[in-house]
Amino acid sequence: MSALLSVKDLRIDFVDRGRVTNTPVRGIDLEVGHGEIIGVVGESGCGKTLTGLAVLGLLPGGATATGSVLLDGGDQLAPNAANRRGEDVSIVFQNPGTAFNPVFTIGAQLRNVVRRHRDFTKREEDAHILNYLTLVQLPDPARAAASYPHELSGGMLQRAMIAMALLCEPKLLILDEPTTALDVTVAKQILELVLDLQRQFGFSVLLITHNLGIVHDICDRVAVLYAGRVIELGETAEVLKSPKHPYTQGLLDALPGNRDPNMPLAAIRGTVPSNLLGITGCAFADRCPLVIDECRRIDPALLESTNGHADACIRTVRA
Amino acid sequence: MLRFTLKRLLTAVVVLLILTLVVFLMTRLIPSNPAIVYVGPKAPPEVIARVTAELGLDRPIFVQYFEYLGGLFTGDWGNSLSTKRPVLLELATRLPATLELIAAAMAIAALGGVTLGVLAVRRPGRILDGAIRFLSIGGVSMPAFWLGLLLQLFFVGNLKLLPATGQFSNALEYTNPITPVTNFALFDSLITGNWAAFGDGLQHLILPAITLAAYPLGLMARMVRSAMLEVLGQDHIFTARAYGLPERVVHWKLALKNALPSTVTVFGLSIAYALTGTFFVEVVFNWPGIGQFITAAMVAVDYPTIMAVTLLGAAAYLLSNFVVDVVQAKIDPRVRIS
Repeated sequence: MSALLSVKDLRIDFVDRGRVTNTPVRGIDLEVGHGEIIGVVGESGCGKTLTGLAVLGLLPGGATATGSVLLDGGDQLAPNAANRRGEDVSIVFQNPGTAFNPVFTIGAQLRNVVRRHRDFTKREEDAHILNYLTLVQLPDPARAAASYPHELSGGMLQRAMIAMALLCEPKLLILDEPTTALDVTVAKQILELVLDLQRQFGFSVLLITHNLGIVHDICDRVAVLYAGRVIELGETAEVLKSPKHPYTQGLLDALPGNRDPNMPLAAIRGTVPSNLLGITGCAFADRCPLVIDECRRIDPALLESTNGHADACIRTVRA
Repeated sequence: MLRFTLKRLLTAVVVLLILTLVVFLMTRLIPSNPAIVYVGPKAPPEVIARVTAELGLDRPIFVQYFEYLGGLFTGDWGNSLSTKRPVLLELATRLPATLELIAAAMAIAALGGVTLGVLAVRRPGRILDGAIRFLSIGGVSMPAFWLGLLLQLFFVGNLKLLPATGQFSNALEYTNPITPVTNFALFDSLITGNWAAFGDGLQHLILPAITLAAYPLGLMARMVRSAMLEVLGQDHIFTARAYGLPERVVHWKLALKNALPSTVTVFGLSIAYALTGTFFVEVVFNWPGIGQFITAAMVAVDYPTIMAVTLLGAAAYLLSNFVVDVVQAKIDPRVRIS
């Protein structure tokens, strides 16, 4: 069975007056199966949001993508990707407070999306919108539809956003840090809702996050990104239990729960390089506790070691 | 929304009352004796004394104020010192022509300004944007009387397309006289079905309306452009694009509504500004409005007229601001809270 989403050698360059100024995504390969929930984790600036936007087919101004992004056979880097946005693939953003237009009601904004992709009568639109607002368990769906964004709480807005994302039964739902702006209990409810709806509808999920706890709770597989590359990929349980790449190990060590509470948290020293132009060898070499001379010369490829578990570290022992 | 509207209305009324006091005091403070203006500088002292008593100028100032205020409500706004006729009557015969001109100009400014502003941000920095910038800066910076003369020269002198001056052709009085209903001549010709007069009036209206519209149109286009640019960078616009909404909808439906509140403020101010801007335009196009009458009144220190016009101007300002507040609250629900 072929994958729903297939990203091959995706590179994203920022170009200013014909000159490439940065390459935040440097050749990402990723596949998402039907009904699969995959987590994409990494620090800020590792290219995870840009990758999500490329999958959506909507790059910011000045960015150009090469490689291929195929969603159910459709080329998301082609100009006609707009026809599939909101229909085959939709996205839930980090900050529900600013993601909705302040001068339109929630209902009106959902209606815009339905109108774009479906040929319904006004009455059918109303019923459809109300149906989805009910589905995301908003306490008073009719009132939510008639409300302006500033009249609803962050959690309610995020529910409405999920309703908007599912309006046209997408095959892939991108969640871009969907709970970062919410408090912990609300975040938990939102994630449970997503899981619930995913079981009901069977869509695939691309979850972009820096929270390994969330990945552990809901993802089937996880891709760890560093400096615009996938550096480790595998089943969630497998990757979290026996990480292969020192960066993944570093991320896990930095979690408070994995340490003696009396010890200081282990941080990964240094920061992500801000510009990725002209990097040779492994991009993590400068921060890696296990670095050897070869790391700075050889550009490590993502290679499989055990069943479905791959990483991009030259020091990994492979069978 | 109703509460908000009533609150704003009450504020406007209070400000208007305070304004009557200011206007009244202003005319009493200028170093000029209205009685002398009324009878002429060479009148003997006893005549001046008699007229002073007739005009009530010898009574305590607060009594004069309350008489003035009472007059405002009963329709007695005093007599013009120059024409000796009731000020209200003088204004009522001239104001409709001015208001028709302003209405036409502001309609052109609003439609044109918004359209140009939205078109300009389609591709910022490109040819269309540049052309629109040239047009709007030209409209803002060109003096109305000069623009009026240029338009006359081109459309009347060279192309011979439109009439140069006046509100209607003179012959119309005999061939298709307008039946007065509201005293708004063009409007009356429309509702009485006097198409010959209506068409003739429209032709006369085009050039002065464009002349008067130039400034607010340019201002609106610039305002809409910058407001649109700001809005287009916001998250919710990205959301709209992320859900596949076409640019036409993103610009004309979504972003424009976000950009409107700040633009409406400018529009409201320029309506009131147009009330004085129209004086020049009326002179250039020999428009039978209040412009020439008021200019003459100012030179002649015709204080009842000056008071009436000042009050009218202030009322226009308050009214347009009130409408702006209400429209803003209608567009942006967050305004209603404060």
